[in-house]
Amino acid sequence: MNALTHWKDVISALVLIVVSIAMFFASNGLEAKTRMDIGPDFMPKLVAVLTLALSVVLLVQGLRRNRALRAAGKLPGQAGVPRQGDFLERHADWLSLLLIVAYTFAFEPLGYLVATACYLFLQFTVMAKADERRYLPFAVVAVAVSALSYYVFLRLFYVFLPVGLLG
Amino acid sequence: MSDVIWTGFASVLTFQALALNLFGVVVGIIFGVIPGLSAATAIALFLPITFGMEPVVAIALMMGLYIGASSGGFIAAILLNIPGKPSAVATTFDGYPLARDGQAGRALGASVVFSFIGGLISMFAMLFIAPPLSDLAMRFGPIEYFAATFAALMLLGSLTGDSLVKGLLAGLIGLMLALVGSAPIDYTPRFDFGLYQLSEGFPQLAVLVGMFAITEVVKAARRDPTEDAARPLEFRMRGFGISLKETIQQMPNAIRSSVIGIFIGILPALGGTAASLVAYTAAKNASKEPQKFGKGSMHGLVASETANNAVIGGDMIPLLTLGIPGDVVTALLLGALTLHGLTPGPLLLKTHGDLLYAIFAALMIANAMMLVVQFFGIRVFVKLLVIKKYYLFPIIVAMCAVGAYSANNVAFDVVVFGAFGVVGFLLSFTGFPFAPVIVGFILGPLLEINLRRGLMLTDGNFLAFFQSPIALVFFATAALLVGATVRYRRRLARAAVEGDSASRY
Repeated sequence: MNALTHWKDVISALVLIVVSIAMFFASNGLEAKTRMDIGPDFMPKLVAVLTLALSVVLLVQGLRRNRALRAAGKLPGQAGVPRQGDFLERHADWLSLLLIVAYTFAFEPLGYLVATACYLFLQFTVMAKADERRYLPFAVVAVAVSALSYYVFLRLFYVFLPVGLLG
Repeated sequence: MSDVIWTGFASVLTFQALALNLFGVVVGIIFGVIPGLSAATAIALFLPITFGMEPVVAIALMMGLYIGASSGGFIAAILLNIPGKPSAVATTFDGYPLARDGQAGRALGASVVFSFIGGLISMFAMLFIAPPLSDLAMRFGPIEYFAATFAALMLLGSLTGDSLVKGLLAGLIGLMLALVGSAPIDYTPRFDFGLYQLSEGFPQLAVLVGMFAITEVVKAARRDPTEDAARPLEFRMRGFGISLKETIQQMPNAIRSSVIGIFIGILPALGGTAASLVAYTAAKNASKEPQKFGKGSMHGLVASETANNAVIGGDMIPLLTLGIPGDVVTALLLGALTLHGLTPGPLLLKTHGDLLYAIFAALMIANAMMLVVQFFGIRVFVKLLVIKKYYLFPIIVAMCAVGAYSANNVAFDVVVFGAFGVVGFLLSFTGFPFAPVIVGFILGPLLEINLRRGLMLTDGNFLAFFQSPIALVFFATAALLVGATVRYRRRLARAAVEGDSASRY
């Protein structure tokens, strides 16, 4: 855990405040095609106002709690389990998320087979512990799973997945 | 009534439906057993392959997955002292002590039997409660419907998660996501960021699958060292491990726990976790030997496992009668039914009267299959506790990406899938509960349509909404339960502070 933990509420409140204000003003541009008292801008404005109000409450709650913690001398140097292991093990969660996002963007340009095989290989490597990493089996499984699933989806469920590079 | 029930069974008794029902139960149990996977992920993963199926066949698969995944959590709870699912928390209290005492077989057997009994009782409850409720719902106008939806969202927001403000904000985030795409009633384009792919709103399946599957994988990637070290306890099991006499002795407890489970299932927001904890406490209060609870009491184990499966029937009731999902699993089932042209709502059981009986039949058969599959397969399922997650979880992500793609055959949906993985991760990192976001996203359009129609009926006077007695009941129930939660949390917080200061001085 790092210092960010104590600021989660404050940061998320600030983000939501910005979003709700932007949404409120963006709704001004919405006009119904027919004349109505309750138009398409009503719900967004309502949601924006409620979000703004609750976010301010969350902001105040978060700041107050942090002030109380600071007064008690608990804020800096929080206790927590330091992450262990090598670089991949310590950052496996963020790296996995990054890999998945990259995979979704590569899905069409690279094609299902190439993108999936690459993703699986890298994700196996990131998720396994250092002493579990065996690159050859990982590569074989990654290629086999993507090829087999491609075939099954095509033949059994008639899903035509993007071919990309191999097309 | 019996003839319609037989028609329901007849519709499910085809080879394809039965085979997929069994497949669903087996896969569901696997998802239930492996800590970190959930019923929601199981259903989200298989939803896309039901596109081409007959609705009844799709229902058979979905119900199999639901029943299977709801019943696998106790294995990790008993043998590892890790609740495989949040709803198995109360199972660890007595299940693990029993297993350490050399009675693991008995504890596992009792869990299988009473999961079955809890499910069974709740399915009959669904069968008898849903039709009259659906008659009542027929009389709902926009105002009543708005009130029901609003109450469901309020409850979800205030009861899930550990902060009232964050729970309600989570519901609002869900509503915001629902605003993207054409507005209802007048189809004005809204918040589509100039992307034509968003003109119909975010693709529902991609959003749901992304938030669940990706978040589960990312969480699993950050491994918990205690989980790695865990080794399941040895067990021996003869027959069901529990005698018929003992089963009969536990029946009053099972019936009480089922009733608790059913009622908690009907209420939105509270699911298996709350049901099993409440049933556990009720069993302890009713017991002549409350001191044994937590040290290996069969009563405690039975209460927890009966109640968390009795939630199933209760959960289905608001979904089928009002079209309002009370949690994430039912939100996904709503999506599944909608894909097959069965839009849940007050009219569903009127226009598709046979649907209730088909669902009932599918649930009953799945429940019986669960009993048999668990009985014969428990030794295999126990081995799943130590499965290598680094192979399984990434493959699930890839399959979910295909699912997101195949809904519309557009790669844009796969990007949405990834983007909502990021959203889900950020939400769970900052401590916002998921269920209100998902249900807010799904119910947003309904809430808006009914609010706007209601306001048109009352010439823009919101106070007139309170003149409808049905709406008033919904508003009052929501206010009462939210108030009670706030008071309860204050008391907990105060107790924590006092306990803290007591230990310090």
